[in-house]
Amino acid sequence: MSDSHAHSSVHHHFFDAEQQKESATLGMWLLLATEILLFGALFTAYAVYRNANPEAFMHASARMDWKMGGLNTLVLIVSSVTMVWAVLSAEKGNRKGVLVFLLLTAIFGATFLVVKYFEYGHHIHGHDVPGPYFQWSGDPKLSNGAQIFFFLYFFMTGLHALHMVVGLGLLAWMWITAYWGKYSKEYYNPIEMVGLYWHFVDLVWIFLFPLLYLLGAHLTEGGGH
Amino acid sequence: MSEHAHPTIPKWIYFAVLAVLIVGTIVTVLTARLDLGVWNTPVALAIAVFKASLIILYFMHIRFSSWLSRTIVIGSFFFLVVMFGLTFADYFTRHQVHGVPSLYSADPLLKQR
Repeated sequence: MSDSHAHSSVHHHFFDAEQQKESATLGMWLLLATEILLFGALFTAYAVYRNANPEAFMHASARMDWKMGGLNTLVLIVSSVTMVWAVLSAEKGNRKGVLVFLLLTAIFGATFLVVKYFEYGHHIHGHDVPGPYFQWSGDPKLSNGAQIFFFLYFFMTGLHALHMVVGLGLLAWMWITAYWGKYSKEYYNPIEMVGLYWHFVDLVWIFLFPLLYLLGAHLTEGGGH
Repeated sequence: MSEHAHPTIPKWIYFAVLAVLIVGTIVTVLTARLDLGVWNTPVALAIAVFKASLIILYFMHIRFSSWLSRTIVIGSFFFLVVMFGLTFADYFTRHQVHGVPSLYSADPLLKQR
């Protein structure tokens, strides 16, 4: 890589590896700060409309399958742990460990998206998508609030799923470059930064799950369709 | 600078965090199945904040990071609270303000689009 220093992975504009890593971490956290506020604005919108339509949100949420959401929560938590192990392997310079754990993380991430695909399919066939095809079998007075709930559900989980797709792309990039032998004990910053991103996406889901899936779980019709 | 260069975090911590996250998810579902009245959401959010804190502190290494990174994390959550605070300072007090032209006014003369 760097030709000025033999076997050095420190780019020329950094003093040392320590400063290079600190800069990468700071930059990644600045990106995540913008992400926290992006999702934060959506959570604020959710809070405002739920405050205005508490009953409708509760009954609309009872149409969610909390078992699917709960399964996906566990899948993401486990994928976060395999990501931790990918970074730990990179720290030890264990290329094989990096490849195995990145692959496991990607498999769990893909599992999440497959479950999400079936959930979306279920909602589309169940006429839960807001708009002209929306059908509401409950109290007609709650129909509008229920549409707002489902709009927020599709927007927030859709944006989250988009982040998962980007995360899978980053994992593929890390896997290929790790396969090429780009990383070592001294230099594995990209893997660690992708790890930060992946944990953040997990973190968003930890708030989405109770706020979208579990509002109506105590109702008799709760627990799916 | 170098004290956080290679933090030696014992591996059992990651397994402990994994166990707490799984238990937290189960407790979230169990408490949501109960009718706690207005307390359902505060309980669910308290568990979510606890789980998120563990992820940030241990998986995202903020427990072992420099204060520069920590400041970014604290700052972003501070501004999140500001966004929530100012938004609800508006929504919770709108109905108390009379005589101000508003889309939400009950008075047809003051209801402006």
